[in-house]
Amino acid sequence: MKSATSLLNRTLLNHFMGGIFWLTVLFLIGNILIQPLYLWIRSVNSEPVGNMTFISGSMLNETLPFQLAASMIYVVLMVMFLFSYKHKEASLDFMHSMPVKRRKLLSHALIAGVINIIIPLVITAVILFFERYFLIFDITIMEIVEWFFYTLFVLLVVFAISVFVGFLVNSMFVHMQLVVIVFFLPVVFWGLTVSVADLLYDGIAPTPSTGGDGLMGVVVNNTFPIFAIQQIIDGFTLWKMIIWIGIAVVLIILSYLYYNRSRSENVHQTFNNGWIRDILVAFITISGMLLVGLVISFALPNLTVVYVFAFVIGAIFSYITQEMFFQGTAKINFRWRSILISAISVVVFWIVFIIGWQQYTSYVPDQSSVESVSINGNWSSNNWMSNQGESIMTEDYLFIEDKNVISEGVALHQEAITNEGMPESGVPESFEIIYKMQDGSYVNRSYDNISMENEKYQSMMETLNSGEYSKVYDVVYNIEDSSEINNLELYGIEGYINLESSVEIAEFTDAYQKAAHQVDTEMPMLTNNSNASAASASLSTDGNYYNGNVSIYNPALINKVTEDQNLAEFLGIGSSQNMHTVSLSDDAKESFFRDYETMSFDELSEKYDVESLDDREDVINSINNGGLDASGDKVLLYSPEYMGMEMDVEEVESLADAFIMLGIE
Amino acid sequence: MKLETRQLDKSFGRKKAVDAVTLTVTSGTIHGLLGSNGAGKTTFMKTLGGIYKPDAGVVLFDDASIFENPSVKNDVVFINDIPYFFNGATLGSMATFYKAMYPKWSTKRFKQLSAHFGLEAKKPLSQLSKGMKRQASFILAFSARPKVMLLDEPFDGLDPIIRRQVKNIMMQDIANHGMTVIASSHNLREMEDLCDSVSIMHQGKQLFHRDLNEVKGSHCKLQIAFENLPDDQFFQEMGVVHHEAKGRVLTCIIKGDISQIEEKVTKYDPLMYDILPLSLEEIFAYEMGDKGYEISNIIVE
Repeated sequence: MKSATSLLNRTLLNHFMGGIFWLTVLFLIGNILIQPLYLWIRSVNSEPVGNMTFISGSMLNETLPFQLAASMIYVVLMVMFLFSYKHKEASLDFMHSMPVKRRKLLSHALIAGVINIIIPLVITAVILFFERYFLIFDITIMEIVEWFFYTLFVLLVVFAISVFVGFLVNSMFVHMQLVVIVFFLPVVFWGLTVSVADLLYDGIAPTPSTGGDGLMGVVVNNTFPIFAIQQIIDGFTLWKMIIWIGIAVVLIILSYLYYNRSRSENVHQTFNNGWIRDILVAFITISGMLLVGLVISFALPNLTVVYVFAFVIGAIFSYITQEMFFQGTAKINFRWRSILISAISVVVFWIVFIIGWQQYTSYVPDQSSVESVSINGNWSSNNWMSNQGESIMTEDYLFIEDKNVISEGVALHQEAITNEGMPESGVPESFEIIYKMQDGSYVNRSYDNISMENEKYQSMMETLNSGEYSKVYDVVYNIEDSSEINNLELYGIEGYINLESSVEIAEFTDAYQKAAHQVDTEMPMLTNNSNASAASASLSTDGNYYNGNVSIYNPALINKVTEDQNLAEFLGIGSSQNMHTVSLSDDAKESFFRDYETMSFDELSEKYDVESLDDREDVINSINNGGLDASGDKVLLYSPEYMGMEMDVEEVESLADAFIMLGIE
Repeated sequence: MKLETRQLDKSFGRKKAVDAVTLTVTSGTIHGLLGSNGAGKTTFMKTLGGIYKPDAGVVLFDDASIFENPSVKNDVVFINDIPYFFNGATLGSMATFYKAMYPKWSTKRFKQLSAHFGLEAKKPLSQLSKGMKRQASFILAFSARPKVMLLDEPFDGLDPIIRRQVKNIMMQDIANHGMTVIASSHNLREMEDLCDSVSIMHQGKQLFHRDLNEVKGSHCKLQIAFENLPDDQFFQEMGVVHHEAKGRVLTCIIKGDISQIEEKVTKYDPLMYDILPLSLEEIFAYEMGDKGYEISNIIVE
């Protein structure tokens, strides 16, 4: 029955809608289970199902990532069934023999798809609207509206991408593959490229510890399914959403153009365009080559010939596998053009890969264009962050502007580049150097080939081991705006304190920062490397998460810990199997801290006055009363349960591997 | 509705499935498209139906192109060699779809034809036999009241009685509404009884295109026996295009004015003679034999 305007043919629309009706019913049921039913259970039980504490804001957001993931799968399946007539000769000929233009067919299919997305969401929204009156927590109408439009935005973008991709192929199975490829091949391809580069080259820092997107960021952030779910966690970025809407509109327009130009007779070919197929095959072959090569390389010896063998096997394996998927049969036909294009692509890839990564890893920025530098190693292993929103930390957090430090950093970086392979002697250390450039950009590099005995490394360590720079790595000290923090956790070796109240967080932060100046002048080694793992803190805001070092000698921290637990337990002293004290003269202090890193227990015992602590009570009581002193002459060595249980103290090569060091009164 | 193609080309990759075919089918006639498997008949039919876009040349229905032209397609129904129906469809639901597509759809006619062929509107078409599915496709096509029907191997699977009934309905529509039919087949004999004109395709090319009435009025077969076989003058005078001799008996195909044949024959004093009409197969054989084509290589039946 045609409508009055003749623009919409209801029978044609019903035909398309009827084909996906039961799939849409499943989608509706899934939506109701994931949102209204979950909220009801949540209201009754008051506890989130699973670990959903990373998501803040509306209660609707708790299950939104799962809902979106399932909904995206629904949309892809719906599009596959909606356009399934295109993949069979009989149905395609029938539809194209009808007195309807192709653009009208497409319009009806698109309208059917959009209706089947909107109606289940509207029904779910209506249920949520009434359900909110019966829940123990608040859900505002605006939150429901926001949820509705965001879900709609995500699903329409996936719908547009899936529709367009469907016009490139003539098989439901390959359509499904291609949707997955379009969504995830770029991130998989780039991820594997970076991983293989990381395996073959020293200097690559895929995820810098100072936060930021790193090497993967550009691709990951632009992978739509990841972007869609990431936005729920990090907050909406309007301009990116507008770009995606624009892309969706362009893809729908292209779908119309493509359909008008498409040839019914191509229905027997898997791909409508041979070049697109060949390019995809080449990309997948390279990705498979990297993946299989990477896996084989982990299992076999670290030799060039092994790498070459692994990558060749990987390329052949992935080429054959993906041809099986594209041809929909294990009995594949080989085409010379495809083989040739894939082979040439592999060669070009390796040329670009080798030249590109060699230039990347050998680049050292000009010192004059560096604004500040962050140098991280084992002493800052607690530091990591995820900062998608506006930073609440000072600009100095993890970055040092001092020209001498920048100069030493550049020199150490240069040394790492000129060092070929692993050091012949000494313990190899990994360190990361991040330059903040004057133009606002960042240069990140990470190396594993510098030995601890290296002169420049030692020089850098001595520079960084000062009270002045210890504050750079202190996560609480560098909080600039504590009002945004919604959770602050303090970790000892065996203790944990959680500050949730914004007043409590603000008071603690303020007290900690004021007291930090008292630690400045104290013995740097005790406030740096040696105790990096003794205490740490993590804090989160909407969109940001920071984890880093804190100073156990800070009086504000000691006070906070001793408010509701004892300090010795917080630091894991109570469970220690071995406890020793060392009395140090001022002259011996500097060498002791270095020897602590390199000497065994016996060697250290011979050189210094090490006493076994038989009567622990006094020391533990003293510590529980806040008796820590980073500037004193006495050091407590102890093995918390996690370090000492499985280890014979007298056999360890480095004391730092078995003992935590504390300055005590 | 008059159908016309001019220098129509259609290729699949490097293979030319239809090669420069020019054809005119007058309104209210039946045209038979003959050829063996792979000759290009189905491709040609799908191009006529606006399913395939021509690589070159044109397909015109009353001087209007059919490709992506619903106003022409409103009057053209294409029935594929294997009728297609939607998954789970019944004759009734397919009729609803056709009704929404074809503006001249007649529900009254649909009911009459359904009753005539004894098909239930609510029975799923997937449960029907091949022949009944074919009947269902004809019911839907006739109910759409098209001006042109394109039929690809239309009678496969139909028993002789149904086949005759379908032909009768078709003839009525041609007589009453001036419907034009183009039917493809590899069965020469079936087309001979049905068609006003035929064309034969081989390897994408149109080898032969004739109006059958015209051919039958200008060709005949003469079987004649002589005491002594005649010389070349006999063949020239009679207009013999092909002859075979078995002993003293000649079988000749004669082209031209056949009204005077008997008069001419008697001049040569034959022992006996008989003048017979030509079958379609013989017409083709004698027309194309000179061009180097053997009918057995082209038509299989």
